[in-house]
Amino acid sequence: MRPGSFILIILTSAGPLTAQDDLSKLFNDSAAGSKQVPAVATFKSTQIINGQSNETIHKHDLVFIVQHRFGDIAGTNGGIKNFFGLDNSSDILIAFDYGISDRLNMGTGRAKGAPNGTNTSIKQLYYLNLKYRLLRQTTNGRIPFSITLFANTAASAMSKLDLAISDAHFQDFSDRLSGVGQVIIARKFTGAFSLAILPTYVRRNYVQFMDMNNLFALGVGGRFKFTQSMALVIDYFLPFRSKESKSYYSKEKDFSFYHPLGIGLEIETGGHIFHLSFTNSTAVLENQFIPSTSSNWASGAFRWGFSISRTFTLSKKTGRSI
Amino acid sequence: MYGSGPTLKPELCIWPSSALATGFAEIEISKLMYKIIFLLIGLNSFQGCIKTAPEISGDQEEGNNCTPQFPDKQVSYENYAKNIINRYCTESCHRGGNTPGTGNFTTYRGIKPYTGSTFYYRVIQDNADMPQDNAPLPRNIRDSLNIWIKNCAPQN
Repeated sequence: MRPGSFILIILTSAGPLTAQDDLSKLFNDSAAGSKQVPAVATFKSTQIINGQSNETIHKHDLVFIVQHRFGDIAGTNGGIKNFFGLDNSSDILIAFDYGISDRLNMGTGRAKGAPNGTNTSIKQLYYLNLKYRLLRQTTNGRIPFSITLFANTAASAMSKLDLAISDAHFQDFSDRLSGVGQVIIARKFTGAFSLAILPTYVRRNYVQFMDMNNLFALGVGGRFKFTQSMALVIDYFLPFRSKESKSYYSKEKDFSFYHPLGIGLEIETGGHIFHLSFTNSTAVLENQFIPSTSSNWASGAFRWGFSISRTFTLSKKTGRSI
Repeated sequence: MYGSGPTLKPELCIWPSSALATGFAEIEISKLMYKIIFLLIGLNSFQGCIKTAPEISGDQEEGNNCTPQFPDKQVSYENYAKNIINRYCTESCHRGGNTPGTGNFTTYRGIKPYTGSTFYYRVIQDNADMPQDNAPLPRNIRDSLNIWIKNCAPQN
């Protein structure tokens, strides 16, 4: 059985969210029986580590986001000489997300970009994204999982590279563009455990020889809360790169693609969520880390990453729907 | 080697819009919001054709038709440029495979495709950004490399 099928069966076959039901009984909440009460906080933020979560921000909230990926912690380019990667930055993203409604978010930002130099030389990415919460899990099990849709379009603003074999040797503006479409299917199994699967499509208009313009990938993300204030979060993407493409890069370029894997510790302190995460992907945007991750956990080429966000509520109304 | 010409080959000009999926169902939002969403959908829809870069550059395929700009001066690859590149570029980067940095500069064949204006702008000019996270190379080294580059980067 394929891993994707296995995860889908787990997501759909489990019963109602028991922890939420117990809480409803505790407070004698009659609404829980008759109304569909949505499962809240499947994940604690709009991103798991590298991938998106099913969560959206509230209507009229503006969120300022800074994401950072340092250099290699260990391996050839890590260790004490670079202070375990802290001297280097592989990618930096500055972004704003805005809640058009509680269900529809729009975001824009700029990422430094993290070209690996072999299958991509693209840097300086500006992007627009949309995230729409299509379906939300209910505690009575009537809707067993949440579905959120995510898409972005990114454009590289870098100068054209004078190297014909490069994907940065742009001929037209459209050569600078890439896009991502993603379906985020998530389920909160208990108050302590949530799981998401993320079928993903990455489109890059201009790629290097034997690379793939259209690439599908399957992501998996999870959150396991093990104390009142701490949780383990993890996400992983399996890109479906063709054998021909992998074989070419391996034989002709002595280059291997690796699957992005992020592992993090989520610490909740007084209303703030702090993520201490480690990942082998150098890039922040899906447009790059899904098709172009070339760092290997096993050789120490993983790095510390963090995300800082600050929410500004632009609406005077205090009441919010969930 | 996998055969390929230097021309770009458009393969598909229909972009299956990724944003299309996200914008269609928000029924409570205003007309202005609809316009914004469909603007984004439109942006995606006109992303254009997909293309693939050639495997080898036209210069490599057609032979080097470059004209040396400093015919009275000579800087050797074997005795000079190679040593400088090894010292400053390929110690931990630009070694091919999964090392950071583009290309494999440890061999002449590996660095030759990069010896055009890219090398000049990133290594030789006063505002050069290479070696990464360091100041540009000393002036005398950059001047010598400039002669080697402008003389068509010979393998002498």
